[in-house]
Amino acid sequence: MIRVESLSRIYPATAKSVAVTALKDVDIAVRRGEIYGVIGRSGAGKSTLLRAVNGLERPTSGRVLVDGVDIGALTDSDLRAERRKIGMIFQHFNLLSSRTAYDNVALPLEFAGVDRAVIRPRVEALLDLVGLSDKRDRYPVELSGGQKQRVGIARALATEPKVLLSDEATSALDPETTRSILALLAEINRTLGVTIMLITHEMAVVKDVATRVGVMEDGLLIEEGDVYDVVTRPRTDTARSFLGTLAGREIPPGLAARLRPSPEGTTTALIRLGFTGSRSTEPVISRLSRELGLDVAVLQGQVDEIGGRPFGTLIVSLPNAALADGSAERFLAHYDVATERLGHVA
Amino acid sequence: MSPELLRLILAATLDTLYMVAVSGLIGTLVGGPLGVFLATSGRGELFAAPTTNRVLGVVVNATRSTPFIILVVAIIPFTRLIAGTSIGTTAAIVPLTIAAAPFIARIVEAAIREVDQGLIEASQAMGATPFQIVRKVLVPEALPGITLGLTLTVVSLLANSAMVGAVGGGGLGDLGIRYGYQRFMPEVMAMVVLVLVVLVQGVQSLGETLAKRVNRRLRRP
Ligand SMILES: Nc1ncnc2c1ncn2[C@@H]1O[C@H](COP(=O)(O)OP(=O)(O)OP(=O)(O)O)[C@@H](O)[C@H]1O
Ligand SMILES: [Mg+2]
Repeated sequence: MIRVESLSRIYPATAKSVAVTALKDVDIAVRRGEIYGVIGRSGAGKSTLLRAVNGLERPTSGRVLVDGVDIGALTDSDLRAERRKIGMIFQHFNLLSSRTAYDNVALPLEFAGVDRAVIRPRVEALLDLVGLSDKRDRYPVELSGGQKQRVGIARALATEPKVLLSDEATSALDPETTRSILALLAEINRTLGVTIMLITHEMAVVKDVATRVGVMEDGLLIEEGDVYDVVTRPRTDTARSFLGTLAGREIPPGLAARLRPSPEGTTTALIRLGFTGSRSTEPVISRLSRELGLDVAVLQGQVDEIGGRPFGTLIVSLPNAALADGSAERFLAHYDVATERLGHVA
Repeated sequence: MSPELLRLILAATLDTLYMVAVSGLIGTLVGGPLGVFLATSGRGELFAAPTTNRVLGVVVNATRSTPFIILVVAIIPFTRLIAGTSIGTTAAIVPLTIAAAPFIARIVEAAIREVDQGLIEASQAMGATPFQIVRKVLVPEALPGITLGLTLTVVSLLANSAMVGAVGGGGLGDLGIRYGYQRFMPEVMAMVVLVLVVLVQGVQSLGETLAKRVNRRLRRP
């Protein structure tokens, strides 16, 4: 649905700043009807990427195709028409303070020159969809953050787009409101079949709604895959660091304070284990302990699921020796358990 | 005070209101679009035309930094060309308008620049044309600021219109100079000042009330 082909964007140097390469040769294919998450730290180039999809940003090289249409090759007026097929929501909502919820949702239809008689039922249906029928005549100042974002979502859907772009749409919201907005996005994806590309710096957001995820760093797409695979078996340190914020993945704080990078002067090693698929139900730990004769202590554990597929995370301690000769990790790999060394404690 | 004097004051007040209304109206018709253009024609903006923007900016600043009384005298030939005369109420409208338009332009420009850039981006993402963005987004969002600015303009027009009285412009200023000063009738001078104070107060409160009414950023009680 969205094809990003070797996309680069260089902001040229100005009198005050040097040139910035915001995107380097990025390739992404977002499939029809999926929710694709892009995660990355501040300045990684996420917004630049998203803005290239609806032509707010002109690529330096490469191209973006949305439903087969080359966005960069359109004339101004064709681009405007194309943008009506691509909705967008924002971190700070970007609602007009001078318009009520109803009039904000009606705005893109007014831009499109749609008849008032057509606008009315459509806007009312959209307000109903996002659960704000009772706030129809309220101004943004009278709405909570979550309600404002619902208006933003209704507005983005007004022209019945095929694609919805979301730039940190939940970053200004509290965790509970975030979940309700994500649930709404998932529902829209499911019931209207809208393809969603969403940008975030929180793995929890990706894990809650996305089917696939791309990890960006310094303008590069450094890792990509099904959310389940990236969460359970991250391949890059960046991806791993985003997992750190997910529940059940933290090292207990008392231990974290005593953790050392080298085994010198310590006796025990900490590793994080990732269980996936059917193996997650096998008694791997007791076998590890029995067959290798190791003392294994479980320090932290969590079972979760992504898209109905379960996965488990355990933080365990082992004798240093079992790590030094690699025997424990070999054994675990045999059972398809992902391992990650965390450090050593005395 | 004699009824005749009162009639003179009433006529002068009407003259003043006429000058202020017409020059305010034409000033807004010229200065409003000019302000919108100034606010949207910088580098990389909606109607990007950086050179024109800079030239117009200089012209606007030049007009604004010329003391009004000098402006009045300097453009007498132009005034005569437009109004057919350089004396009287109608003639006074020319310099008043020329002073008001750049003032309004700057006020409108400032109010529009206050509008969140994110709204322009959101509108573009919705497929709006630059003109639609101005008409449906920028101007409505800037309306509280513009309303307050126009209030300020009318107040300064009142002051300027009194000043054109010194050079035969008609209205309250003219009356004050001719009767209050030259014929030494302090009660006329006092009346003129009083009427001007009342007018300024009235305009100010009206403007503030309107601005509050169009401002949706404030929570309603
Ligand atoms: N208009 C611009 N001119 C110059 N440099 C820019 C411009 N916009 C973005 N950049 C630079 O491009 C890089 C990528 O910016 P971008 O906004 O895409 O990052 P991001 O991943 O969205 O970050 P954040 O999470 O903070 O929103 C940054 O280094 C930024 O400073
Ligand atoms: Mg960003």
